[in-house]
Amino acid sequence: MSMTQCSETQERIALGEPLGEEERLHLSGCEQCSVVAQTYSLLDASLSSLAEPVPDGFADRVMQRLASHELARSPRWFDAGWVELALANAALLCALVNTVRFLAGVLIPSVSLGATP
Amino acid sequence: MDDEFLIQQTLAGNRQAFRLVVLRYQRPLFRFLGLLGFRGARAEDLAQETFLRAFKALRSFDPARAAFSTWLFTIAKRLAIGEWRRARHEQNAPVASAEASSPAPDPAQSALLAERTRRVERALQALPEQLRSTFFFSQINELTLEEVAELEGCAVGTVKSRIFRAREQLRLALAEDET
Repeated sequence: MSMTQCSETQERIALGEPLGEEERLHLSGCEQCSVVAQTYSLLDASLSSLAEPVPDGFADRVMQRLASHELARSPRWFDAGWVELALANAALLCALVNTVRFLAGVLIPSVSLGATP
Repeated sequence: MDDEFLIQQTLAGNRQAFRLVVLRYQRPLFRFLGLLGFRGARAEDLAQETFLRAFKALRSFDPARAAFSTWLFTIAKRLAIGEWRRARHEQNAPVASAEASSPAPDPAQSALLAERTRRVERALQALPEQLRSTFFFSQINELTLEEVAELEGCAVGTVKSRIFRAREQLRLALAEDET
């Protein structure tokens, strides 16, 4: 029984790689490698039992969270680009009108829009 | 339907496409979180958060740079590490419990399995950080060795070597106790 054959076989088993014909033959006749293979089987069974099961309805709950996330992010009417632009223009227009009224009131009191004749 | 198609559909506004992504990756994600010791509500919170973050950042995903699975598990890994640190800080690190595993019908057999699982858990916790991380990713069937290498930022050969060393250490720990 060669040590190289043992280590090659055990390495393949450890990595979960399929055994070749020669290695399978070796495994059936080598007690040491058989024990190693058996322990790896026990290890894999234990690792499988550690896997957390997917709870029922998990995907639905994820989709619900996504829906509420999207709802929270849906644009409000005053966030829309054209509304923002219109509001800004209206504010600018108001400021302009008020400036004109002020200047008119100061420079030409007779045409002051707010003054009584 | 491949991942890329589902992602394109999601980005085009088809929410059902993302549901298929969730259904495709929920099992490996829970397996990964279970191996890390996250159970029940904590595992669910992390898994939900992983998908939510992936959804939010979907436009930034570049299929030319990485497979979707690699990208998704990178998010999961970061979240899990953050949760680990937070829990450790609060002295409340997730501890995998053998009780969560499904019981065998025979009580004696069930006890034996539970004991063996506990030993494996202890051995997993005792693995060096680097080996443990690579080993956990290698346990996700949906990830190829190349993808694990990308996640871990190392060569495929290094991944193989780490998996071998991790499994060997786990086997020895199990064999020691079995004798």
